[in-house]
Amino acid sequence: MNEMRKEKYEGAVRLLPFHSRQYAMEIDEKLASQVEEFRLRTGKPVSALINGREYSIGKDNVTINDLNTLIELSTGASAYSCREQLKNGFVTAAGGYRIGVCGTVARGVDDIVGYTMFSSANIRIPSEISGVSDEPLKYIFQKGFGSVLIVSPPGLGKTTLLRDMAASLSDGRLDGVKRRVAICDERGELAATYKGEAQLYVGKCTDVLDMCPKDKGINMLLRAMNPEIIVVDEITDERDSEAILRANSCGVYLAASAHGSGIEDILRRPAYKKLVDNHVFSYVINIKKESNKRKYIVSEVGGECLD
Amino acid sequence: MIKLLGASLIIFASLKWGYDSILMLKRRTDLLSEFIASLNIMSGEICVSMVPMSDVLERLSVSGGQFVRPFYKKVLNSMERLGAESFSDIWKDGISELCLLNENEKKIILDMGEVLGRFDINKQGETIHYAEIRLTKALEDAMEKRKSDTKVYGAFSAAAGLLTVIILI
Repeated sequence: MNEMRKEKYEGAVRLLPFHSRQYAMEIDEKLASQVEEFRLRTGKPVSALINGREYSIGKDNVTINDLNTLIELSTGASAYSCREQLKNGFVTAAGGYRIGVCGTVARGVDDIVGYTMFSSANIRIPSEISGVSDEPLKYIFQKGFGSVLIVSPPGLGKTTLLRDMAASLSDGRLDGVKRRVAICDERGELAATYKGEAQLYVGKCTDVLDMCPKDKGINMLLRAMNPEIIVVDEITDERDSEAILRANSCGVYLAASAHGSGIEDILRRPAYKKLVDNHVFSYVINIKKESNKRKYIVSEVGGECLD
Repeated sequence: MIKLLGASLIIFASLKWGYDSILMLKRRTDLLSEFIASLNIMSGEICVSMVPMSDVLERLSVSGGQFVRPFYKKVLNSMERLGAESFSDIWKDGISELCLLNENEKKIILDMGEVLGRFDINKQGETIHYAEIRLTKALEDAMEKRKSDTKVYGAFSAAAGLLTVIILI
């Protein structure tokens, strides 16, 4: 396990209930390097998510108190200041860990106001793989730079690829040209900003708009930050598409991601079809997993493809 | 000459005891009013600005009143134990810095620590406000006690000194 990964793993272990930390530290190093998440459910032992499957850690069951302590620890005893994040079901802890929560929701007149009780949580270990975007970007530079859409089913590394792409373009890692990159990080997964500082590396010339809905955020970035490239994670609805179209018409490149099995799947959805029909994206990167290895397939929209 | 010196020392010691007792009463009321003022700041920082707890504690440990600063400083410094200990335990631990308060007043502050830092912002506001009301009542009582006891301690210390000198002479 490399040093950075080890550090991230140990940081996640420190968020676990006291009774499970020792067991988590005793996991074989090779296995530990593959842990994607820790999952905590009341009345059950902590489990680790490895290659999409859960494995129990330790014998002690998680209690409601353990979950409250997790929220207290990850918010620095300031859960109230993470209200908006928690209303959306997660909170970002120092180090870029994304804590997803589940439980009994408290509802206001027309909105969710929070939780009355937590019943489960997951601690997602952020993965930073420097250089993961090098090959796809080399091909894109060779063909002529353009906007990129990354497509894959959940858990294959869309966000990791997008983050490294942002860092690479911002630092001019491949061509020596530093570009102004702006990230609209609606769910705090790309940069994992904590107390105003990106916890994950996104490049030296990158501005991060944190926790802002994409449709509004893209417009704000266009007006305020004069970006060359806007990076957004997981386009979901028509409003996002509209904002992306606007940005594209302003001459800004986009790097975005979407859940889906491939371009055909994406084209079935109106929000994406509009973007493809308007030639917003020049390239689609499809991530596939074959014999435990990720494969990046870059296709030129309406053109050739690099496997 | 020695007798005169002895008598002066006795009277001085007695007056010093009286003065210290009066000073204690003053410090207690000062501490209470400073704590109430700090709750006011805390309420604004948490309920309006939603400032993280460590920043609130930092502000109060620097710009709070001289008697409350050690309390907030101790809680702030202990925040690194979060995870091994709950925030309410860290808060409870800090109360040892408020030794001038009585058990009832400490209990008010202790109760507040059980809710501080949790998710519900309205509850935070209510808890701080409730503690403010209870501590304001405690401050009024302490002011009353100070008013009456100041005279008692003043008169008693002077009388006790003189009486001791007379008996010894």
